[in-house]
Amino acid sequence: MKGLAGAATRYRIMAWITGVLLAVMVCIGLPLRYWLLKDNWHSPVSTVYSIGWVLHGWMFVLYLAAALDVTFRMKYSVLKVLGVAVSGTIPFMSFVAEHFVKRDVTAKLMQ
Amino acid sequence: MLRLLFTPRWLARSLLGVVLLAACVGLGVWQWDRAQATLDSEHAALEVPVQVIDLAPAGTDLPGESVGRPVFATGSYTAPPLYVSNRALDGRKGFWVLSPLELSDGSQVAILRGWLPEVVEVPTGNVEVTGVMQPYENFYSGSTAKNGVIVSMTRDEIVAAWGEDVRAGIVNLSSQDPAFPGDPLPVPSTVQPGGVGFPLQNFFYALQWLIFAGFVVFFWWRWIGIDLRDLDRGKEAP
Repeated sequence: MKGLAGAATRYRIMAWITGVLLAVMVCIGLPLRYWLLKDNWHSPVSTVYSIGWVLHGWMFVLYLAAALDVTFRMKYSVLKVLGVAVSGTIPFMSFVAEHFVKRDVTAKLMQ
Repeated sequence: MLRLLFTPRWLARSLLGVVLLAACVGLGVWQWDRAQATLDSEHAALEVPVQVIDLAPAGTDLPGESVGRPVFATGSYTAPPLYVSNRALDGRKGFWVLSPLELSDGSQVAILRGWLPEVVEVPTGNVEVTGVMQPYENFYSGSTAKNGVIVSMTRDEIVAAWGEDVRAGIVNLSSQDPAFPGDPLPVPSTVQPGGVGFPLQNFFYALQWLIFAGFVVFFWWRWIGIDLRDLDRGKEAP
């Protein structure tokens, strides 16, 4: 139980950062990049777009570390752990995962 | 620990760990290969000759990304050339010959046609040329042409001779069709194309897959450690 609250906070922060960044990349970045610019890989927008994915990649590394940490402390089943882990790569799913993890952690802390 | 490892539950967990580990490493290798393939294709793209008008804008300095790129052009040597003094070829002193090539759109580009031992008239006419884009020289920039002889191929000297609208940079001639009797001897190009953009996205993805592989090992280890501790305390493993 020790450290669970901190682990949950870390996970929730990363879930939001990763989720918002992924939503921006998918909802704004993708259409801008592929419908507006087509094959123009050398425009500054392409560079910013690529940097966005690099940033999401590193944020996801932190997300995964935090997610594994909190799900481990919660003694989640392997399937649930994988579900929470993969949520960081599916648009808007990290918000859903965050909701359930928060609910479970709150319930456990109340015991 | 060995007895714990060979329980059905831990055999399944270890198998899953190995599968995840293999997937992470495989995906990492795949992203690494993609990064290399992107680099290779970008380098290859720089080796393909393109029209000189695509790389040399008029009325400005040569953009850095044009330096060292192979180009081709069709046009005609028109105005009298500029002779660049004090240029040696294979140890012999002489001159470089710089001719304006008038292109079909009326613009001009400077062609470094080669080396001659002395200032003599060079053939003119319609030609197809290939060459390597090189930037202007920038030493002795204060000097001026005397009887068509210059000391360095600066933009100022070339603009003074052929006008402000001359295309940027100098094409170091590699081949010319047709060749004329009395053509200067081509001089080797010394410039190299610049670097290409590094595919950071694929490179970092490769790195991140390796980090994820590390996560798999770390959590397998942590998990079995907890089960072992629980066993020692006489509890059943979760």
